[in-house]
Amino acid sequence: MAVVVKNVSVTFPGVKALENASFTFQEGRIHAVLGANGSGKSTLVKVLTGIYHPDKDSQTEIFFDGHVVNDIHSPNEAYDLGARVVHQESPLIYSFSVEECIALFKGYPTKGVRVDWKKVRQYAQKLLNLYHINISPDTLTDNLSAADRNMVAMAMAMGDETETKATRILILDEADASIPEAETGEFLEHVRHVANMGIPVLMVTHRMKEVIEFCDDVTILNGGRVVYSGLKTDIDEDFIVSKMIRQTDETLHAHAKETGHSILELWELLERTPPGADDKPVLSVKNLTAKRLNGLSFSVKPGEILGVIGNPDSGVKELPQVLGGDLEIVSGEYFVSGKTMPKKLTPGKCFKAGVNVLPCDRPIRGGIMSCTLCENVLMPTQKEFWNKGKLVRRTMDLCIDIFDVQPRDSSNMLFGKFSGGNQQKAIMAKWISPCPKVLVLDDPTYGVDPASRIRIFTAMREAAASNIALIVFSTEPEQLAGICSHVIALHEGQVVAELKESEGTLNRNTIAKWCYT
Amino acid sequence: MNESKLKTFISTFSLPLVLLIVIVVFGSVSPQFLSVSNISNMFLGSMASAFLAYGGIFILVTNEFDLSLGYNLCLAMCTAAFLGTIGAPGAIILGIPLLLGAFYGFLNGLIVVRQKISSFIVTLAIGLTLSGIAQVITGGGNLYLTYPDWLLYITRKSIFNVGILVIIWLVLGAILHFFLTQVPVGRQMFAVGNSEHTAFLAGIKTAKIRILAFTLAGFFSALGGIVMVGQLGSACSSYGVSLLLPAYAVVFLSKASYKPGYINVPGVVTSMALIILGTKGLELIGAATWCEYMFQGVALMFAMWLSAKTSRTPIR
Repeated sequence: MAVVVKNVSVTFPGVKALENASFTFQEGRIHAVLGANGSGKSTLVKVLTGIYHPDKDSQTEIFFDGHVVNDIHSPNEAYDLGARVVHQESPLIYSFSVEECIALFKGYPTKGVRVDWKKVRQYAQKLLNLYHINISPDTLTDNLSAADRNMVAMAMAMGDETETKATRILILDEADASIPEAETGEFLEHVRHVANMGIPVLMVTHRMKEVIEFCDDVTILNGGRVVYSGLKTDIDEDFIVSKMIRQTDETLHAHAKETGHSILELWELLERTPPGADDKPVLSVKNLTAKRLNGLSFSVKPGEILGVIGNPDSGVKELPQVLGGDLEIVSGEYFVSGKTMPKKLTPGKCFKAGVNVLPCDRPIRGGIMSCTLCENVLMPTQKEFWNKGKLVRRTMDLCIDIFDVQPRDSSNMLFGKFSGGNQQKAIMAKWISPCPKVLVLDDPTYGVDPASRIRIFTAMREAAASNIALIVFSTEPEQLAGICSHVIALHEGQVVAELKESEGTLNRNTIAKWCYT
Repeated sequence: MNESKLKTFISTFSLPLVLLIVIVVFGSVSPQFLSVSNISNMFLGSMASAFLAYGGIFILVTNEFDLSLGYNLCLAMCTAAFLGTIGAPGAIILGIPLLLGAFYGFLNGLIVVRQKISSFIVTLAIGLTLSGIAQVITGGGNLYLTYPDWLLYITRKSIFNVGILVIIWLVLGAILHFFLTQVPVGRQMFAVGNSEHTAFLAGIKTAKIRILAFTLAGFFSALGGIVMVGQLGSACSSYGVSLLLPAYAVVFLSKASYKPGYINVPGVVTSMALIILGTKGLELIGAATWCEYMFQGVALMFAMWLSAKTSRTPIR
């Protein structure tokens, strides 16, 4: 029987995660749900698994096999209703065997007090055979490939023949994301096998190729709303991408209110000289190999704003960490101002070389919540401010003014008490005030309010105007079209395309294509 | 093919092999060293550590840390002796400290799991509190225990030259081994210790498992206290605290053998034997006291090295 969701709305403070969205998951068909970050895909999954709840005043109806509910109250209720989920991370314990992992999940069969290992083996073997998984039950989890692990997780979620009868819908929540593209075929064949049992399959994925090849129906979400729902055969990649693109970011081209001060003043106070203009690249990498990076080469000149885009597996998450000395370089060369960077790189060494990184994941890597604003902003250059109270005050006043950190007069307030946008502006101040040669920004506008975004983009332009090279990564890649002169696209750890404003290839559509396929 | 079989053999039996070397070396210096009664006596002299090691097994398997076990053992000793001074019946002398020891463990578990405070701090705080209680009970001095007879008998006498207490300890070890390898709750403890988050995702009641681990550790520590007060006939509030870390070392060392990389009871028994025989053997040949500490330290470093070598990094 089909699983139908009608008019689901989920609102969080300030954000409509899902707005009157309706879906029909037909039995025996694989239904892909696509959308950019924040479009509502994972909210949908969480509603179906009882973790999030629809708004009280919404007319949400969820149909499972004849039952109608307005809300699934808990994961247990979701299970009872017949929802089975496979997440990106499989619930397999490393150093345990596959059969024991299954037993841990399902409950050990016992002979009195002790475990009945024979039954454990039998059940595991039955399950593996049922889903055509070619692994022996006593294999250790450590020795499984990512595809194997997720197939076992799926088998565990579904259960044996009697248990499968209770399944009303199989939900794959980015279950393919941890599997390398080359191995996904095997996994997806097994998914098809499950669908053939007559079970509706909801597949949340960001991999366009898999959608085109394996899925039957497609629903596209954008900003919490359903913007398309229909057969896969009626659409193509370009259509999908065009539907997934977010609305234009108004903040990109707005200008920040003029403050009385500029970054140049700040640098003068701290006795730093901005870099000179140059036609030679200030940072370049050749054949860089690291985690998820397979021979990457690119370069950036002073004053350039370079954007880097790609789908989540392409290496865009790892590259900023490598550039900042936080992730190990396996091989390849990394040059800054013509000098080779040492193989054993640390953030400190990068800082000394003039490469500053504004990290993603602000609460963990951007700032220390339990230190004051002042301590955070001046952290990289603490030594210079030792015993220089007056300099500290003047620097902080300038930073707070230039970067518009609110509230004013708050140097000694705890960092954690500022809003996300103000924290991010402070972190910009932290990494711009030392006047680096290269500024790497990893997702600078994540969780940042529109007014703060304007300020951040303005600061980026000012920095570039002073010949600092900027490299920008973003989970809202369309915004890069408005601020970058060049964008490189990554795929499977290599640069596969270069989009240039000058050549007219740099626009929201092409960027979206590279990120969502 | 033969080379890898040899490697597996060595890694599975590394501890017994080293033990064998120790026995041979010290046995050749002094033949009485190898007599059953002598070995049994050496074990009898280290029973506090031996029971603390069992308590430590539960803690380390679930990937926690408990600094209160030594204090727990001490308080159990003092409580038992105290009950003796007020003339309580034998069953009470055995039962009450055991119940209390388990309760103190339970308290540890409850606070660590529910309040989500680091086990290091919670168990330290509780441990110091227990020590305080012990000082109140003993009034700062010694308490003496002269009954029940069956307790004194079990903890001091031998059958066929083997200490009864040692036999009990070994039997308990067999039960523990069974629990950890054949009983679902024991297997779940390993799962929780391996990755609490994943175990939770797999539907295991990780909170209950962790609290159980702390409770059992408290129970075994208290059991150790009771047998010690039976053996020594007296209790004071400073006994046993310094025995905790060496006990953890023994548990950790078990990873070096039988099931490399995992804590296992046969490994604990063997490494306990290794530490006891090694230490006493050094004493026998007249080595200075620092040699014994060195020996324990080096043994632990060996275990860590082997554990790091045999542990697998998860494929991410």
